[in-house]
Amino acid sequence: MMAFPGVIRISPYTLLRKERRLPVMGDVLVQPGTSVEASQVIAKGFLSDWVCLDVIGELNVSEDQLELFLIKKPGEEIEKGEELAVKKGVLPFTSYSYISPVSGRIVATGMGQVIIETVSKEVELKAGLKGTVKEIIPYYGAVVEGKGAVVETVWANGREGQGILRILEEGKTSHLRADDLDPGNRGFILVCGGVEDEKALEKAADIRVAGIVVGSLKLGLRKKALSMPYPIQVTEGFGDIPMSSIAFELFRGYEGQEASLLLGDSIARRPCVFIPVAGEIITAEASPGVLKVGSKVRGSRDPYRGKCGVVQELPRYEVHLESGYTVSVARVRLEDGEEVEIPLSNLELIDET
Amino acid sequence: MVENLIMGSILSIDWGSVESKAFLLDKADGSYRLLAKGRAPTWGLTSEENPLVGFREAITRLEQAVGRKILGEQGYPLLPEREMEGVDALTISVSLAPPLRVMLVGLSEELSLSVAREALHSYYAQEVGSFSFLGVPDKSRRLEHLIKTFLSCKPDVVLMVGGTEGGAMEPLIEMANMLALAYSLWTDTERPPVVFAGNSAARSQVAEILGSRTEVRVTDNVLPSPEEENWGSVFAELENLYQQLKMSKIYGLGPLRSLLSVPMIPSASSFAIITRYLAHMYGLEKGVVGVDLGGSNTTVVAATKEHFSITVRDELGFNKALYFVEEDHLENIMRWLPFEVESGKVAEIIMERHLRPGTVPVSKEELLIEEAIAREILREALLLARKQWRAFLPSPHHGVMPPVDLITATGGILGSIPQEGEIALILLDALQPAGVVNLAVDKLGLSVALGTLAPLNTAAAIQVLEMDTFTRLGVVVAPIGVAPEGELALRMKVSFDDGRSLEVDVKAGALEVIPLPPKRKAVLEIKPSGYFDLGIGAKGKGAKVEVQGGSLGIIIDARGRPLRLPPSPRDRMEKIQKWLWEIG
Repeated sequence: MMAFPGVIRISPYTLLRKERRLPVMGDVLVQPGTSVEASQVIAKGFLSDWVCLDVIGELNVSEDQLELFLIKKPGEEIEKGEELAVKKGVLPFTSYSYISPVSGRIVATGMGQVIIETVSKEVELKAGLKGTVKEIIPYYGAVVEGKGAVVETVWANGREGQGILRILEEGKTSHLRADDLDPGNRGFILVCGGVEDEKALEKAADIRVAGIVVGSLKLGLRKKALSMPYPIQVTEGFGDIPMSSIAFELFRGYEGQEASLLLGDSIARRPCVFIPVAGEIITAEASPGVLKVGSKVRGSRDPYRGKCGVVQELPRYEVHLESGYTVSVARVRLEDGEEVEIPLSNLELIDET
Repeated sequence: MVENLIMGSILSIDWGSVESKAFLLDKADGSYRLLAKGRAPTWGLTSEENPLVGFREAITRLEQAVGRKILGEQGYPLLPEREMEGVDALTISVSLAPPLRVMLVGLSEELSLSVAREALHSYYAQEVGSFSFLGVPDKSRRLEHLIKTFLSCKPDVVLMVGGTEGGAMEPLIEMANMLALAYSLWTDTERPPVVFAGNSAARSQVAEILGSRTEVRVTDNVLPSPEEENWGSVFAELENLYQQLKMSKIYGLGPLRSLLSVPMIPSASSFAIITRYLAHMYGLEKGVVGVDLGGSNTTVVAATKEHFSITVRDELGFNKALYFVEEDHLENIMRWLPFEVESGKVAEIIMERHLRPGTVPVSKEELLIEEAIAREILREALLLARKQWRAFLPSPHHGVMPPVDLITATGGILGSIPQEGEIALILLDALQPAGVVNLAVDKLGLSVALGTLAPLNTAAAIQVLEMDTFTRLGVVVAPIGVAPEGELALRMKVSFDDGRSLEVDVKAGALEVIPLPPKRKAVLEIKPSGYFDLGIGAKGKGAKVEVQGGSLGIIIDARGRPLRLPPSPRDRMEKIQKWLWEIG
């Protein structure tokens, strides 16, 4: 047995805790213990914008006179078209008004300017996964815990979402093509080996898929993937590697069920696919993965990148690689029956707990 | 004097963003030696985000190597040592905290902000927003822009710069007033401090205006005159703030802090301490350059007996070389390869190292691609570093590295490359040392950990530094200049300490190695041809120097400075393969 460097969780049944945070301070709408659905809004906030109004310039008064002419003071709300400041004219019954061009709240005055905070956008924070609220993060969100299947992935395009899992017909090696996509895929998370080209990504956006999970992504598609409005996750890496069978089979087992595509957070840094499953779970405290004979592993570097297998032996001898490195290895039986020696550094231990 | 406070066993940890390294130091035959080491990935040992797991695992592996218990039941080191359990002292250097998020506020984009931007690279810092006073002429729009940038980028620190010494102060004062107004809108509890590094005449007024809103720290002007840049004191403030705002928030630090024998310091600072020690300890008049090519960032330190500078290129580490993919600079990497390769393959390796930092290359081709990536990262880091040290380490030739006495290298990739010749070639290609320069590599990364120990027990740090830290690769003789290939570059007589001697003529374009084992000495009488300067400032002028051996020996690099690669891909690949063979 030996302590092992890389652990990746591909578990049919486990506990997943996710920290859910608004980007700005806001209101948290749930309590500890609240059961939540993935799409349920658990906190709300507002993204602000600020507008500086040159009131003294318009009224032709000095900076220190600004306060004298203001009708509305800091802290007060103002509507677009409403009078913000008034200066009496030299002639009787004449006056010059400054009309606010925006609605918002006056937050400060200074340097002859009136600063108005406007609401540019309301932001809603979704639970992200079906589960229970374990902890409140005051003003920002909550920690949500769910029970179910988890597949940790190695890359995500920065977006999250939920949908129904659908496996592409040809399975873990298939590449998603634009022709494969029709409006019937709307709302589904498509699982496949890879993506053929940019057209496929664009078409998926057009028909509003809920997400895409692939084994690998061609490096040339990375930028395009980052610009897509839906979530994309990659289970193996960049290039042309089929999805590992252990991940693929897990997805296939849950085809037709709702899943969440979630980003890494301060609790677990990897992005993941979560599929809620009912039942009781007993979990142990997280500890470093231990590699032993019988452990399920996945190759993380060529020539065995993305290939899964089972450790048969942990030899005491070291192996000299063509690169010149002398390394400890594991003898692994791959899924096709071949037995190979893989450097320990180039293996990931699959955590199925 | 605070040195030698601890005389017993010492556990020195370098807690990195990719890897945690634990070193056990203790006395053996009267002097401190490295007894055992343990390393583990900082992240990824469990699905949960907890750097303490990697920290503990590195110590556990060290325990297994040395057969001694160091961690207590709670998972923290036992102090002091009792009955061969635990250690007497604990030191930690850290690079796993995220960089400082800095907003730059300056008068002009071209002068103030560009200098401030370079100053940011002196430490673990990243620019998250900037405001140029002169960039927006309209007063309302200008204030609006400042407020929006400040409130949306949520910086940890505001670095305010502008004005040369003796210059006008009014714009700075107005900028300070605008910033004070922006601060009044900040709603979160912790307000980012302001570091003012502009015209010193405005300091008191700026501090008065902003002091009621937030903490104001003043430093020397980064731009005292249009021709002079001064980053030193900004570096010192960034170092303080990084420790205060970032390092203090590392998960699990609380219980560790009470066990520490000296305060924890950032890895770059620790590495700088050791680099400075080397300059002092060996009286290296021409100075030392140290490079640490880490997983997340690259540190370059230059030190003489009187001065030093640090450059930390954050987000430009071996596992974060995405810059070359994003900016489409893969050709720069590919030019160092002795074979043709698709740019996609190089990009894929960069991405994979980013996603899975701890893997090792299996094929020679992949190793050479990784070495080419290392070259380009070092070259990028050096470009900026050289600007910082030019005041105290001037180069006699434009665009050429100053002739220093010693270059040291460390970091995960450099420490792991099996062939020492290939490590040397990376340093020769990327740093292009000039003159007569010693090369040493720290394969374990011990030099980064030892800097923290130096204030606690100087003798221990020096003893371990001398005995266990560096592998001497050899000495490089690299004349400065360019000559047609095949012309005589230099004539050299080597008088070995065993009485043998050897005379060689080296032609321009050649790279040759004369074996001189470690701990052996030789006297070199070098006479460069009229094309070349030995770093003395005159072409053709010779020198006589005594040198020490190393695992490679005497490396004569007559490829010219600056090094120029053949323009034709076929010629270039042939050359690179030849150099690899020459240096073995």
